[in-house]
Amino acid sequence: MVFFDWLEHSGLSMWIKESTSLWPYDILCLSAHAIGMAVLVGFSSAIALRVLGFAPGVPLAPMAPFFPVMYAGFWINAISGAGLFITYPVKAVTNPIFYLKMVGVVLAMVCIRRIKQQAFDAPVRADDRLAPARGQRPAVVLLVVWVVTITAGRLLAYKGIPAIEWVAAIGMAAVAALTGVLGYLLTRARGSRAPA
Amino acid sequence: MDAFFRYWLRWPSFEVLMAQPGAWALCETLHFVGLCLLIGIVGLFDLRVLGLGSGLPPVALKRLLPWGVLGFALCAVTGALFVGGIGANLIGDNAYDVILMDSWLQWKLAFIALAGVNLAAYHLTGMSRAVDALDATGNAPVLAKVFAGASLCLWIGVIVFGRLIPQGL
Repeated sequence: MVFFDWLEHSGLSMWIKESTSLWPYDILCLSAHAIGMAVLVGFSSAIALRVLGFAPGVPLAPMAPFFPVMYAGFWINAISGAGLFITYPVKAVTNPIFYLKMVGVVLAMVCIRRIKQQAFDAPVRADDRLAPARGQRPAVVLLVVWVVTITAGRLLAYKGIPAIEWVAAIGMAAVAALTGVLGYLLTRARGSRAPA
Repeated sequence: MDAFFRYWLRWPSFEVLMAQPGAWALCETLHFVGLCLLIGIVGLFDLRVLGLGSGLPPVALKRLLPWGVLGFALCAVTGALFVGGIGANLIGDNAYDVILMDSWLQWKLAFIALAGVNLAAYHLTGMSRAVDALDATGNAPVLAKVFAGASLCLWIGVIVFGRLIPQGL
């Protein structure tokens, strides 16, 4: 904790939070973090939806060039996230939700790698215009993990909220409902696709 | 006139809704989920028009667009709740004052409107039809690429201005 206390009062940390310019904190940390999130979560979710059987006319293999774009989003967020972290490190390391978010990010990156390995790197079938048989489990896990991680990230902006149980309850219900709807739509999407 | 707008912008009483415990954080989360869907789907399409992911037939990619529309709807509804219910977060603030005074919110709304104009121009100039007619590896016309690039820049601007809104309050 001594280390985090030192970090919180280090020159870089003070510069980020006390600059009169919008650049160090609001643009290079906060806005960049939102843009990186949009790229990483957005593109990976779009690919997950395709893997789950939506838009079956889209061939999967040519989607591969979007993986480097996603990884760029990840690195934008790793760097802007580090900037946000050193601004108030003590608040972060004493908040359980921070660890939930970090675990979520790691899990999501593992899922993205699994999707890449199972649905892309595996030998492609002659007609890949069908939903791939593999990679569906990491795709479902990825979508759920992203909702949980975004919720956790949003809650990090608050400290000591009494309403947190309330939010958690709604969040869980939302995740459950979302999973249910996705599952339902998935079975429908798969039911309507051409037989392999 | 002033009093008229003050009254009607407050009338649905989003304040009461947004003052519920956790309501603000929940709407923020939905706003971010919607943002990811919108950028993920629209950005994917824009990048394909610009030439990344050759091999993807644009017309098939459009089948994913309803998810992007869902994302936009989530953002629009929660965004209206933030502005209309601002009084729940900053006690006594009125949506009318926020719209008139927060220049970052004005920039954001202007960029969303420009994204709409950009989309309308994409359709009206026939570029939409030209892109739909492309085969899997087809190269889009230059004008279509201009619209796609503008779309990407405008939406990134919307995110940045959105993040700056608290600075203008």
